[in-house]
Parts: sequence; C-alpha cells; structure tokens
Amino acid sequence: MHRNAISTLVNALQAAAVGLLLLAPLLAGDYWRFFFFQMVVMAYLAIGFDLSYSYARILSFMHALFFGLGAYLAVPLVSAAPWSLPATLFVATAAAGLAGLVSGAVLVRMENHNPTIATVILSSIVLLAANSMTSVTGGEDGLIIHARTIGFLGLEIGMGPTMALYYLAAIPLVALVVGRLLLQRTETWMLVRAVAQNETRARQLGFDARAWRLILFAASAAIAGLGGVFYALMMQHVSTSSLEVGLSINAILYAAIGGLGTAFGPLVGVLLIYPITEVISLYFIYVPILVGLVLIIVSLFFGRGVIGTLRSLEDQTDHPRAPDNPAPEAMTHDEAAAGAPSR
Amino acid sequence: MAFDQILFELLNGVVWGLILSIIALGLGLIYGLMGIINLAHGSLYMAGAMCAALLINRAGLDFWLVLPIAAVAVGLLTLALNTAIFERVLHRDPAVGLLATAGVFLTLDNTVLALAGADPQSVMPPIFDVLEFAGIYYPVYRLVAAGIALLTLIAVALFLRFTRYGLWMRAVPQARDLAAVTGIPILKVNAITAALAGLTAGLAGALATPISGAHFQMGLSVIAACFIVVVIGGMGNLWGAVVVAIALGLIRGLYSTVLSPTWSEVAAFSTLLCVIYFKPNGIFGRR
Repeated sequence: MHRNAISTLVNALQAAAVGLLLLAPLLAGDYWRFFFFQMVVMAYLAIGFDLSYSYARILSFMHALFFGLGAYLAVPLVSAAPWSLPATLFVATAAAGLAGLVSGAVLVRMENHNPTIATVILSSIVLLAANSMTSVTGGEDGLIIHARTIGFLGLEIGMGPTMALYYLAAIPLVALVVGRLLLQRTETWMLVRAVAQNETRARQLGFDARAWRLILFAASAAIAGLGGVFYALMMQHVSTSSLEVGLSINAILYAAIGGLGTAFGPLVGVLLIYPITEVISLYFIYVPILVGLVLIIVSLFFGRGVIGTLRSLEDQTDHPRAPDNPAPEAMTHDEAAAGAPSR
Repeated sequence: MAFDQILFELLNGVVWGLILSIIALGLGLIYGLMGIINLAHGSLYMAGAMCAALLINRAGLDFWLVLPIAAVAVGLLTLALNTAIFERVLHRDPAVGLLATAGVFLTLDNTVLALAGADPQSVMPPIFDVLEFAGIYYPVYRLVAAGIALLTLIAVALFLRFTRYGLWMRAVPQARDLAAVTGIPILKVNAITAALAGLTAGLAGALATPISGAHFQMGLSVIAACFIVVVIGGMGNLWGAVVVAIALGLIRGLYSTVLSPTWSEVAAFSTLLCVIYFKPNGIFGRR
C-alpha cells in the first residue's frame, strides 16, 4: 500500500473515533448513550494503562485500583452544591495521582519484571482488603450514590448516563487524546520517548530518567482515577468489582488491540472491542473467557495493534529500516514509542 | 496470648508455607528456564483444587486416588499451555509472555466458573484423626499434607541434582547458546519443566482442598503469595523462594493469632512488601 493511502486511513480512523464519540450519542437513544458512556470510561483506563506501559515502562496490572479509588471517592463527594462536580473530579484525580506517585516511587526502583509482579501483588492485596472492609467499601454489593443531581458552576447536572454528564466526560477524553497528539511534537515528549526507549542512555545523557517515569506513572494513575469518577457518576453505584485485576486486563487488551504507544490506540481499541464483547455477552455470559483468548492471540500474533500495524506499514513503504535498527519485536518499548512518529 | 494458640497458628503457617513453596517452585522453574512470568500459575493451582473437589464431591472418588489424578491433569494442561503459548513466547519481549499468560489466567478462571459455578467447594479431609501434643490438638491430615509437600520438594531437588534432564534444566539458564550448540534438546527440557511445574501446582491445589476448600478465584491470592515469595527469594533462586515461602507462612500464622484470616493474609503480604521496598530485587539475589 502507498504511504499516503495508509496515512489517510490512519487519519480517517482517528477522526472517525472522535466523531463517533462526540456525535453518536446526540443521534442515538438513551441505551446507546449509556453504551458510549461505558466506552468513554474504559478509554480513560486504557489510556492510563498505555501511558504507564509505553512511557513509564511499567506494565501495570493495578490501574483498576486507581480507577476504583476515583470511583469510591466520588461517593462521599457527590452533592447538589455548585462546587460538587469540580471538587469530585479534582479530589479523585489528585488522590489517584498521589496513589500513583507513592506506589510508583517503589515501582520505578525495581528491575526487570519485578515492577509488573509488584502491581499484581498490590492488586490482590488491595482487593482482598477491600472485600473484607465491607463497612467502608460495601464489598461486592457496593455502595449506592443516592444524590439525583450534582452541582456544576451553578447548574444541576443529572446523575447517571445523562447527556450533560456524557459530554462532561467525553470532551476531556477527546482533549486528552488530541493533546497527547500535539504533545508528541514537543521537545519534552522527545525526552519522554528517550527515557522510555533506553533508560540507561537517557540517564547517561544527564536526564533524571526515574523522575520522568515516576511523573508519567502518577499521571497515568490520575487519568485512570478520572475515568473511575465518571464511572461512579454514570452508574451511581460503586463496588469492589471496579478494583479487580480482570478490569485492568480488559484495559490492557483495549490498549494492545488499538496500538500501544500511540495517541489514539487505546481509544480505537475500546471502540473496536467493547461493542463486540457487549454483543457477545447477550448470548454468552462468560465473556472473560473470550477476552482472555483474544488477549492470548493478540499478544502472540498481533502485538502492534491496529494503529501500530498501520504505522509500521507506512514506515516500511517510506524507508526500509536500516540493519542496525531492525523492526523490533512486537510491543518492545522501542516499538511502542516508534509507533508514534513525531513528524 | 496463650502459647498453645500460637503454636497452632505457627504449625498452620508451616503447612501453608510448604504447600506454597511447591507452587512457587514451579513458577520459579518456568521463569528460570524460559524467562516467562506465568501469571496463570495461580490458576493452575486453582485448577488442581477444583479438579480434586469435583472428582470427590460429584464423582465420589477417594481423595488418595484423586490426588495423583489432579496433579497429572494439571501437568498435562500445563504441557498443552507450553506447546500452545510458552514456546511461542520464548526469546520475545517479556511483555508478550505476561500478556499471553494474563489471557490464560482470565480464560482458565472463567472456564472453571462456567463449568463448576461460583459456589465454594468444600471437601472432607481423608484423615479425621487429631494429634495431641504440647497442649494442642492438631489435625493429622495437615501434617500429612505438609509431609507430602516436603517429599515433593525433596523429589524435585533430587530430580534436578541427579537426572540428565535435571542437569539440563539447571544448565540451560546459565548458558543458553552453549546448551543449544552442545545438543541439549531445549524444547524437550522446556516441556518437561512445564509439566513438572503443572504437576506440583496441581498437587498443591489438591492437597490444599481439604484445608481451605476450592473456589474459581482462589488462584489470585495464591499468585500474589507466590510472586512475593519468588521476588523476595530472588528471581531464579529456587531455594531462596522455598525459604521465603515458609517464612511467609510463619508470618501469616503469627498475625492470625490476633487478626482474622483475611486480615492476617493482608498483613503478612504487606509485611513482605516492606521487605520489597528496601530490597526491591530480592534478598537472596541471583548469581
């Protein structure tokens, strides 16, 4: 395929993703708005995971914890007071970011696979603890948000998957994705990519690689937490199931299918996979079996995801890779970062 | 705190530590030989436990017959996983193996949920006797289970030390290329390692069933325990992991004299997490 054709295809795919998010709920009914709202929420989680994996270099199975933290903090903060929505968003995002900063401080010091393993350990400890603290978390039955509206700059926004709340969630998401695309052209982002590709080299060049990874990990946690708040506001219900490692694995699947290390990958992955799993769940309730199988197949045979694969086709037609820069193995960090060309 | 209660909980800790150590041993073997972090290892343990529970409760088989059946069934399952997944992951980015085995974890746990339901299965211990010593009454079955776990550890140690495949399993991680040129059938060594890891995980699951019951999600807390043990013991250091497994069991036992079972598990994990904070790459290190 010609480079231009692929470029156009990628751009069209990205524009379609944003268009779908912003326009579809206007045209469709209540059920579809709820459906799209869930995808928006999952996209936050998938973006958070991707930021952590591709740039903080921590393959995290604990992002559902940040998501759940955001969701749980929404419960006491929701009220009709005019400051309620901004305060909820701010407190939950900041708390998730802080939790990311604290856990990340340990994770970035670990070597090899140990950070990933530590995220699995933390996930199961927190889930175990949360399930036994039923008085605080409500356990698997969860907590219900009783408020019918939430205050926002003098307005009363209806809780649940309402139109206003949908756009309050979707617009920051689009801003996040587009902002990330713009950020890729800055010098700061080049430094971020340098750290992600080769930490030792970046450190030798005088950059504080660990600090950068820590900042990115905290940011990824904050984004996951923001998704959690919107989830709580939409569902009006939070339970410990939003802390489960299975949720983190779902987010990983979305990001991997869309394309790791690309601005639009996580969002495209959610838009592709979420509807499929929803349709299947009408006929077959054990969807996680299929999610697991798809994850196996994707990781073994299709590591670059949709956007990454298209981008690499584009690169091949453009300039064959030099021998000292061979096409990397699927999902290496080099590839993850190279999948997002900064031209 | 009464001495007899502490003794009782410490014994429980040792029993659990020994069972945990044979699970962690398999996890460590797969990691050491193939460089794969098997996130589905807890699910293999769960598969052994559920297999045993269902064969006993629904098919009415005898526990001592079920024990080897569950171990071999999980061994074969892991052999299949080796062919389908582990072999394809070798020499690739570690993330590929992590994601693929995360998929296996999700698939296995939910397949068991679909087949056997979400109700916890409980199984009567095959030995009802209670041993009285030092003022406590201790169930004999738990001592027997600990003994079987200990014998398994010894058998694996002997296998690694005195058989040709055991020698190869120790040699390959040290010099992969040299091993390949000298004609060691690496794929076959990998397959035997996977089967052995599955066998021990399945055996551990079946052994634990009369003590803790069986449930489709029981793998998750075990994988956390195994990972803590393997990280602190030093990745690739098998015997370090065994020592830490027993230490984890003892710490959990001590906590459970004052805390509920779940909280003592959380507290024991958190205690060892503090160790990871100060020694992020393990206390026994590697090589």
